Amino acid sequence: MVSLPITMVINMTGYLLQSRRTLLKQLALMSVASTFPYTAFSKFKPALITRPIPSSGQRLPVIGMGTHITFNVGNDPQARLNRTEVLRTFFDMGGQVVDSSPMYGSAEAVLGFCINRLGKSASPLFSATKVWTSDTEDGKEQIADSQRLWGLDQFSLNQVHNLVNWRSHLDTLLQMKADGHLQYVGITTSHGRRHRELEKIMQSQPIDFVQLTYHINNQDVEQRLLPLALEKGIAVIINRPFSKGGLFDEYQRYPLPDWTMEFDCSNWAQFFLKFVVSHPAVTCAIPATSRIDHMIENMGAGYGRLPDSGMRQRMISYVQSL
Amino acid sequence: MQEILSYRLSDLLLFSEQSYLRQFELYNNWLSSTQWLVYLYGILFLFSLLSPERYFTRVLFLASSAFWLICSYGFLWQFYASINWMAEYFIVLFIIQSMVILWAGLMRYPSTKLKPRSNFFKLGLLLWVATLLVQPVTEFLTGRTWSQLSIFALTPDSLSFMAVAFMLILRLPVMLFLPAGLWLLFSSLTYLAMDSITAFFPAFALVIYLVSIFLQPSSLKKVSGRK
Repeated sequence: MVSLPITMVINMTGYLLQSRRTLLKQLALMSVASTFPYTAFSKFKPALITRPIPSSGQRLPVIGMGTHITFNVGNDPQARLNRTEVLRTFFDMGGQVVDSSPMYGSAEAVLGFCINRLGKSASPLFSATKVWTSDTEDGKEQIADSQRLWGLDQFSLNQVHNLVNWRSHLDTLLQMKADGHLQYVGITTSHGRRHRELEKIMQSQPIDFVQLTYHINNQDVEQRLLPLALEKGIAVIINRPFSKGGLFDEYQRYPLPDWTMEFDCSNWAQFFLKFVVSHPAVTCAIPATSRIDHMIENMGAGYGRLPDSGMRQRMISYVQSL
Repeated sequence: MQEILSYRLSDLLLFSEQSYLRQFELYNNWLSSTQWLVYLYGILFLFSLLSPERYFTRVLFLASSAFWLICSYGFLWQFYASINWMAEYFIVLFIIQSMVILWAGLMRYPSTKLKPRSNFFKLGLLLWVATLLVQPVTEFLTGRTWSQLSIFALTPDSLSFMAVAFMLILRLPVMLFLPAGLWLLFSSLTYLAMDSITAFFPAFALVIYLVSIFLQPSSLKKVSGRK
């Protein structure tokens, strides 16, 4: 049983407060917040902030989850059960988008294990994976393997991983979409690489999603790619929103300023995530974690208010001053 | 090319240090208590150096060959390959290493004249003792639990250290232990990618292995150098 910290409860309930009477009721609730059981959240279930996928209008919560490294635990039964609970927390807190790749070792197999154990609790699931091989035929096999490993009949989204053999794989995925075997098609990059080529693909190909790296220390994509995504109606998934944990190493030792409460932020994870998902072009961010407490912090970023453009500038100035 | 160079070593790592260490824990659990027998082998080897007998040398080769197979099947196949696809290549390399040692022990180098005064011998002995004693203690001091330690001759690192020590003490050709050398390189890079101080051990053994290539007497550089 995991207890939510009181600041989290404030965050998640804050935006629901419509009147003083409601506020008083919520304060009464908070008086027992130190013993607030995590499972009670499922009954409480406020909605996460959502954004529409431009090509369909389907709304997705702004916080999803990645599985790179964190879900590659192989056959370790203890770690698999732990990841199941991480995933349960994610769904209980309103998460939907789960992203993986055949490149992530056993992550897809572990996800399949977790989803199977969670059963109906693992819904609604927006399943996103990737195809990552230089051979076109191998790519088709890989897509089928991924479906088998996740235990799904079809994926919500399949993406060409890091632009590898993108022309052929894109043909395959677009054909699957046309045949009704796939909902959305996307393409990914990470670490800020191959942006020029990605831009050309976004300009010329009928893709629904693009996935790229964006965080408060690296805003390169704000110049061309994010505006282009808005212009072309392409949904954007942000990977590495914590710069692979590097942002915590750099800033966590500093205090979080009081003004972050103005956008319902109570920890650094939420600071970094709210910065990313508050960009109007961003559909969702997919932080990865192997810890339940971190998952709760991450998901908290999807509740309450988001910073406006002025506040975003203030956030940038603050981290630059540290 | 520029793109490849822009990758850091840690960008290529697909698992966490915690997951890696868990593989050792699971493997040690799988081995049950057989580690002690192997540890005994490590000590007996040192005693055998006092007066090496032909049959005993053969036993050492056979045991060593078996350890490579156990490690290939146990650690690599059963556990490590599930989080790192690169381990699949080492499964094959470890089997090759096992076969090479078996062949060398049965056919090529059944008895060996030792040269206790040579620097190779001393270095090999040092490495053997370090693998037995220093490596597990250092791992423990750097944060591993007892159940996560590299056990002598049964985990890839310790097995490769032992192979290099074996090579130096018995004056065997460097090329016979190429798979061990490749593992040492791979293991060093893995630990470096994790920013783990444990990288020191495989890197140290790798340096010894590489130096041996250049410093070994030319008669030993050829596998068929003697019988």
